[in-house]
Amino acid sequence: MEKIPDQLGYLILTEDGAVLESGGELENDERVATIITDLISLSNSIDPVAFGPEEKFKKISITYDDHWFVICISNKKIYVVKRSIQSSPSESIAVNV
Amino acid sequence: MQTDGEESLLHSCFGSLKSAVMGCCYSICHKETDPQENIVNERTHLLEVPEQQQETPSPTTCASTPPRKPDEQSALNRILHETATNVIDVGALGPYSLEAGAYSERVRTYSARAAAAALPPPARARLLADLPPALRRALLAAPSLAPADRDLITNAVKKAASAISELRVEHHEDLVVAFRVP
Repeated sequence: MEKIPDQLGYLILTEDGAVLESGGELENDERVATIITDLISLSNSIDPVAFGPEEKFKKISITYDDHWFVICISNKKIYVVKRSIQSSPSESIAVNV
Repeated sequence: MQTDGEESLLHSCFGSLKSAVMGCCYSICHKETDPQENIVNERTHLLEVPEQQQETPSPTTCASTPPRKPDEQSALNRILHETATNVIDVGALGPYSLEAGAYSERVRTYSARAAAAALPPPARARLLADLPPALRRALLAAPSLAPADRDLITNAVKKAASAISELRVEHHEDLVVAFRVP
């Protein structure tokens, strides 16, 4: 698979969740593969009233403080890339409830 | 504990009551065979009530049932006979056979209908679209979520979660009320 900028690791899975390729921090990581597969099947059973069959999304991203995952489907395969975030001091307003 | 006097008094009362009721029962039971049916007498009904709704005790119960039981007994018998007439005994219907010609005709008709009504298998619902490789490369290399967007989403979800957790049920009226039966 092609090199993605600031990539920390990657996974290529089948639609069922079997690992085809893996590398970097996600090398042989079946645990993450299972979690991502479950997440995608969960998203498939989302409320059909809210998200109609014509409304398709291109990617799912899971963002943490210092890294993030990007997930997409291409050619019936699940692509997962773990990328790092260059954390810069940002003025963010957090609401604590 | 009853004294002998009271007991004999009760017996004689019961006896006369029983003979009166038996007399009534006898006259009611033999109403159909009464030759004086057409004559208007003290026994003719003022309202023409259909036969099924009349609580006529059967002749077999005339002689044996005590005064308070006939209503219950006749009601039970009525229910039993109604159920018996409404029951359809499928087992007793007997063998049902179809002619060979009719059978093959039906097979042809039903298979034609089934073929016409056949639907394509439903497509599985998928939220993520299948992307072509070019689009995938561009997408995976795209920059991450903007910090401002991320904070917006996080704060909005936190507020929604706290609002949902504050849902309460306000009790106004009783759900179960007693029937005010005097």
